[in-house]
Amino acid sequence: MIAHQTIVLFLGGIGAGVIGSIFGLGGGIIIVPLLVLILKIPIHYAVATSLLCVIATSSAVGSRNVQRGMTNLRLVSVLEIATVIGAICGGAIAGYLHPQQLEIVFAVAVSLLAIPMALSREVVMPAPPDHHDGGFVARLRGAYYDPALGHEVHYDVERLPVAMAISGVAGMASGLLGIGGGVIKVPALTLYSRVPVKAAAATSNFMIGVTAVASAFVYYGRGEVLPVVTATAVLGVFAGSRLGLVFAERAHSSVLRKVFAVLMLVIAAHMAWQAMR
Amino acid sequence: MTRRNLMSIILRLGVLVSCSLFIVGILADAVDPIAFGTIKPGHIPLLLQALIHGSPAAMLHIGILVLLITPVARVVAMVWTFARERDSTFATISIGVLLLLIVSFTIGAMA
Repeated sequence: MIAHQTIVLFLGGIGAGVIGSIFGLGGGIIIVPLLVLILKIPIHYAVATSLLCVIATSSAVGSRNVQRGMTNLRLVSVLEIATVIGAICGGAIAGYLHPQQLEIVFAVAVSLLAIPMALSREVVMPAPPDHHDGGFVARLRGAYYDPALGHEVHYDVERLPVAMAISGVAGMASGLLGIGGGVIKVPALTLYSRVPVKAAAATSNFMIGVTAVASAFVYYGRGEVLPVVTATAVLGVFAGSRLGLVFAERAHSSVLRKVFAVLMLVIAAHMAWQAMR
Repeated sequence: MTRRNLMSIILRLGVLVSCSLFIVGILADAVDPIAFGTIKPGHIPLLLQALIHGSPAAMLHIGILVLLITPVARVVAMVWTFARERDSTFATISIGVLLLLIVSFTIGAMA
């Protein structure tokens, strides 16, 4: 890899890491187009590199979130079952698709994801639970300390089957497209399961490492992980994710979400154009 | 040690080891570019042997493997801690996640 490509890749990785840690995503949605469109790397290799970047973001950000008590570990274990099954299926199917087909799938998926991203509003913290049964779903109840509110927030997880189904789809998207799937999981957990957005982002972030690793093994076995490219991108992502944690505390999430949605649509249009050329 | 600390340490350690290997591997590659085709991905004994001889390719491949193993190690820690808390339901669910990851690893190894 020549010097200017290394610099572009490292800077792209930093950008993906910043965006990934702010939104609770893996950053794959930036890395894949960067590799395919700018560095002209075939999409299968780009997806494999991106999956490793997702693991790096998840591990770096997750280590901090789990210590702060933001991650709902019981919810993680349940949703990981669904998301890993989806990821294995996605990774296996991807091997039988042509790069152009994969690029079109990516463009359509990113366009569809941009809509909930743009429309999702700031989440109002749900009221504290008023029932205390000992059922399975009740055991997924979570709590964390919110420094912005100055008190502990308690929440119940609603519509678990919907959250599991969406996690399965997110896992499949991960295996096919090299994204973490957080861009689907965070809105789903927030809008359908009524998990507060901070806990949803932390829980999603924690899961995407396992989601990505399930399909990354498949790509690694096929020899589609490029060592120098992957190492450079991962180092950029790691640096960016540390930087992003600083921004995340100060930024207005509603504005950032809309800006990000526009960025996603531009990426999708570019990728579709590339596929049909 | 709480389960939060254990998982946090595992994740941090994985990132630290893989990033260190990546930095050294990239710098060594910049000084003396190497042919990556000579090392088959995933051939661990060969990779370890090459690592001892300071091969940049081996450093990068092992860095990638460490990164791949990190989330799996985190799931193992989750099983262990749920089990220690006598939370059999969630320990069993976490074992299910681990078995699914083994399935994906097997598919990867056969590819």
